[in-house]
Amino acid sequence: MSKKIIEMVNEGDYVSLKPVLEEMVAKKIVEKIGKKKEEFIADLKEKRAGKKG
Amino acid sequence: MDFKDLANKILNEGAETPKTKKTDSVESILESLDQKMNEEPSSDSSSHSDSDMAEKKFKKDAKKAAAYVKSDPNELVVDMGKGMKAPKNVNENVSPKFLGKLNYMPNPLEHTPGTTFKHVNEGVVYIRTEGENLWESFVSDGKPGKNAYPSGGGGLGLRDVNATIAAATGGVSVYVSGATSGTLFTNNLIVNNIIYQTTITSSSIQLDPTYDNQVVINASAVTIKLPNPPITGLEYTFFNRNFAYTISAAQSIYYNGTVANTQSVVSGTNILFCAYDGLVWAAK
Repeated sequence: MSKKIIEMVNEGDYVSLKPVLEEMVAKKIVEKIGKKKEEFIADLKEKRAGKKG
Repeated sequence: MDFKDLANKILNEGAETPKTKKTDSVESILESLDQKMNEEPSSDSSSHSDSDMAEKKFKKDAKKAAAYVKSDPNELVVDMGKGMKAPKNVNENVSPKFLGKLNYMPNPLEHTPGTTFKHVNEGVVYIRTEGENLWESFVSDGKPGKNAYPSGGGGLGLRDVNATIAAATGGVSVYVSGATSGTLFTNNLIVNNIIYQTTITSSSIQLDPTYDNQVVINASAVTIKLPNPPITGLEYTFFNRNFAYTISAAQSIYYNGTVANTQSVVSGTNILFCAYDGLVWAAK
């Protein structure tokens, strides 16, 4: 992917490059929200375990 | 016949001939001139040196003119010598192109919509907009210099990427209310990796025991900003407490189907959100 991006930059094809970058950013955002979700679930499990204990 | 008169006559003849191509006219003039000169040699030997000089001058000027005429005017730059350049013309049929790395803002009126260039001092790629005839920031590569963040190498600066992600995820809150089992939602709606802002004014939030990871929001008002103009082909999934249903035929949003048409704002009450695989789906 990085090679493809570099090629597009060298060719000055920024019109094609932008959606590729946006997709990468969108994936990163989804990953980050997913991480928040995992942290939340882990936190919730800890609290439940604490209550049961 | 005087040389100048002869040249003028040939020039006039050439101009009157519609089939004569502009680019060929000078060459054909020179050829015709040679022929005429051979056919009608000057009997006046005293004017021979003058006519030679005039012919040389004429040929020199004609070559210059030919160089200009032969050049495609859409190529824009024709060296006329001593820093003189031909004026730039815009051909709307020419496909948009990348102008290269520049340290100034070119006149947008001289370029077709979609034309891009990279401003080397700003680290920004600008694109010529269609409607407003202006340059618009398109892709940021980060500013160069000692205080600049290192570029990601892909045309988008690390700082810009982080700022974009921070702006998108900064308002995301993952929580449950009155929960006895785990479920969560965010205040953003994400569909096909595109984030749509939602505003929820909720009066109460309940968990639905029937399904995992589902939250029923008895909201007094919910606003979801969907893309405008609508994006077709996005898949939305909608839930109710007991069944899935179509929001509205007029809005053409269908359960578990594709969006054929949407309106920019959907609002209503009793919205159910379902968090699934990191994506948050919304239903009215």
